[in-house]
Amino acid sequence: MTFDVFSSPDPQPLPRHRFVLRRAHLLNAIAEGEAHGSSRWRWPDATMPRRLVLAVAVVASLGVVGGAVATGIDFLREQDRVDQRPWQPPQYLPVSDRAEIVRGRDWSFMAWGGSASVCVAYAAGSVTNWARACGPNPSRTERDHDSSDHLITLLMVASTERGASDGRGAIVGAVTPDVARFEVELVDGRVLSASTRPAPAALNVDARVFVMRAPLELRAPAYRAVKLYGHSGMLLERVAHR
Amino acid sequence: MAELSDRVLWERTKQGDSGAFGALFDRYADTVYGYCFRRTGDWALAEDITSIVFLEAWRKRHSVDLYEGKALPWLLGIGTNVIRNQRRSLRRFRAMLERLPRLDPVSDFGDNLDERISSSNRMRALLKEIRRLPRREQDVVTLCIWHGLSSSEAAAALAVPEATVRTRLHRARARLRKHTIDNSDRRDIIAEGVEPR
Repeated sequence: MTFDVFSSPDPQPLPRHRFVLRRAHLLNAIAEGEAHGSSRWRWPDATMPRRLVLAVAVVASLGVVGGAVATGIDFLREQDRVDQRPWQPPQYLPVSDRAEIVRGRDWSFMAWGGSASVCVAYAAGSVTNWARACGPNPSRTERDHDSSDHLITLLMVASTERGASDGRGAIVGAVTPDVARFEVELVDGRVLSASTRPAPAALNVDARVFVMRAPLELRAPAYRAVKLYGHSGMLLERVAHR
Repeated sequence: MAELSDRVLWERTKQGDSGAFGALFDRYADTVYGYCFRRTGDWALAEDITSIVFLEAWRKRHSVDLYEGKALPWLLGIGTNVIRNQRRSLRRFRAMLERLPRLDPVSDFGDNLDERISSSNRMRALLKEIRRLPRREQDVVTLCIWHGLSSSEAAAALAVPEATVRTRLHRARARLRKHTIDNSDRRDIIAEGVEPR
């Protein structure tokens, strides 16, 4: 991928938790009358004990943050509801607790232990707008996608298909514990990579997970190759799309 | 409140309605953040400057009427000034900024830290080229070419006549094209891929 001086890297939104934090902080500062830009940050009322003002600020901050979270969709509960429908394929049935790995304002990456493997789901925008995938078990007793010793499951969601309000799609998945970095070469030539992190203990699986969010226009085949790197940085495996 | 126009939100803001101002933050914080990143090449600094932009906007609310009822040009204009006087602005708001938790790479995991680092490297390389231009031309390149503001909106943001924006833009384009051609054998400076590890 190249760029010249007439274009620049795509702008990215503030990470959602930082957005909420900055917003709460801004409104607190305003409420405290601090937004006057003096060289010293004054307390709103010199006669008011500092601790009391601080307590009010903290409560106000929690209220704003709590309110922001409360207005969001409870994706985990909605995923439960989806999986309780009678026609669900058995591999999606959870055998562990479900965990929300990370979420934004209107999207969520979730994972759980399925009856055969690790399952991942990505939802964006609304509760009906979601995708999910289950790969083979980390024990590799079952493998039904590209022959890989390290890639457990991979889910790619196009921006246009289930895009969040920021216009991004997602690439999420799970890998074996020895994989520290996941890298994918898309058919459009872009190479995206992400560090992996341990799957939450609630899943009761020995695996790591990853998530990447970017503008994605996906057509089959969605990627040329996936590369998996170990903790020493060494390439463990290259999986070409079949 | 999300469906209200900028003009209505701004009028309410002027009357001291912090909720209306919060709605403007919801609407434009990401754009201001993107603008600040493109001017600095630094995500953390861009975040601090975004906060300062909105605090400055609140502070100046009584003295400002929006251009054609649009808040964004004015916010980007504040951003331009804050970035220009970065050290002074950061010093001025230091106490407030220090009360925020620092960036935590682990908790930013979900927003693709690697992609951000890569963007940051690319942006810095690009800024190295852009900074060859006079500062006034850098402003119009960022506002008009990268952020798609019209020349009249950019004029409102920079508080200069629209003709001045057009002239600066024309000159900037000519300089950049010439520089690109002159360095066509040095594409590595202005073209960079996302490097596989």
